[in-house]
Amino acid sequence: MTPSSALDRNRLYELLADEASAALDTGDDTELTRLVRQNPGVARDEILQAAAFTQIAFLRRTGGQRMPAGLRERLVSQGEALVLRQRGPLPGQVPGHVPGHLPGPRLVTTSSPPTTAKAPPAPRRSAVSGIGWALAAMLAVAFVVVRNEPAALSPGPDVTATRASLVSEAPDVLTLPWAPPTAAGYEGVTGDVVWSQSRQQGYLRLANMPVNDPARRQYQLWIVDPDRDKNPVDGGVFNVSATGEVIIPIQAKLQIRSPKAFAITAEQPGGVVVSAGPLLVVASI
Amino acid sequence: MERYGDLVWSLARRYLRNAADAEDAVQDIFIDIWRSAGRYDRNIASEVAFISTIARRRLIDKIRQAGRRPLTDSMDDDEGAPIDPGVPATVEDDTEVTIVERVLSEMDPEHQKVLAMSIYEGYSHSEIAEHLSLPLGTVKTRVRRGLIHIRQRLQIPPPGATDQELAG
Repeated sequence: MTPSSALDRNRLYELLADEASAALDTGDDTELTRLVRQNPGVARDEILQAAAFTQIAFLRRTGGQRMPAGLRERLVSQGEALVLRQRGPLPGQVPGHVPGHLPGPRLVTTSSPPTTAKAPPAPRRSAVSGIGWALAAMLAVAFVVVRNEPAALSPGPDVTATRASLVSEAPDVLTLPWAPPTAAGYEGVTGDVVWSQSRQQGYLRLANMPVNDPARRQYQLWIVDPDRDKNPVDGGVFNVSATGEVIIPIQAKLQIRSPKAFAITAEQPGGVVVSAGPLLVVASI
Repeated sequence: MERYGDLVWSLARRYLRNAADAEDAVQDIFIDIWRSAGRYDRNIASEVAFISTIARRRLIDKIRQAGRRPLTDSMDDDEGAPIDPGVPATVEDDTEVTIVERVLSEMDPEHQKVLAMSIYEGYSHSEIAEHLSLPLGTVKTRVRRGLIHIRQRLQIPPPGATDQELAG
């Protein structure tokens, strides 16, 4: 292999930048391939990664949008079909049934790398969790499954009973009363949060919570869990359609580790990923 | 992982202003992600970089297949409520995105604009040159310099470096 000059290396980075900005023509591609081969110290995706983080930085600056529920549903179907085609149904799984929970380790099977697989991977400093991409892809499926729930949760007739059951049976259940709210219109809200860490299950009980118009605003629960994430975890979107007491099941979208507080905000229909507040009702440990 | 759906959707809406086109693109992107699972290696890139790269490649393909699209006032015509797009909160991703944000803030606005139109919105160099009334060579140089500078600031290590070497 011919040692590469600094000039060649500079040209290589220019071409990598062109590739990352989709500005590479056929002739450039040939040159790029040659230069990559001559520069084993340069990974072909270095600039692609820089572009990926640049893209996210711009997106964070301008703000994003929530994926429509209908699209999530279609993705569930497609993901399920693809997974079943690649791996076959899991033991005990009925073909065509999408599991409603994050898949267990059995799903983390190694799929054969496609023929388009890149050159051997370059070790890279990483603080990313140790899950493999196979699991990550499965989690993507699970994500849309989890999200394939009614955006507005309305307490069913058995919610009172299931809450009572949790309170009486879970050994670690926490009961946290709502702090006296100070937000205008919410001063009269009372009730509590119950949460079982071992079961990852809980309920909100709210009395005198103002009725919301689901077409305009929906309530969203947030679970403050600094051990899990610097941002509060989405605990589900819900509506309050009648005065009086309502019980809302908590729909934590991630595994909760050590909850410190539960808070409710009012958000755009469907909820948001990160709320700008204000916090309307809060219960803290 | 929960957040990647919104991330991909947000990128699609940025590239493709038509919601139906964006929906089609997002489905293609996720299928591509699932099919590409076998070649993901966390030692090469974080999950979010991997997903973003696939998404961007697919979206650029889409807009080029569809032909020229109208040039809008990029970055100035956001639709919908500004929410966090769902950048995963892993330490690495957060750190790297923050570094890029810092680099961008140090660039002059026109340089930022060129980079945003190219990397964030998928416009070709010639479209950017036309829209901003800049020579094509200037656009190309700014995109290149911007990305190479960001790559340097991110200190993406060379192939073959071990975690121990990087730590030392």
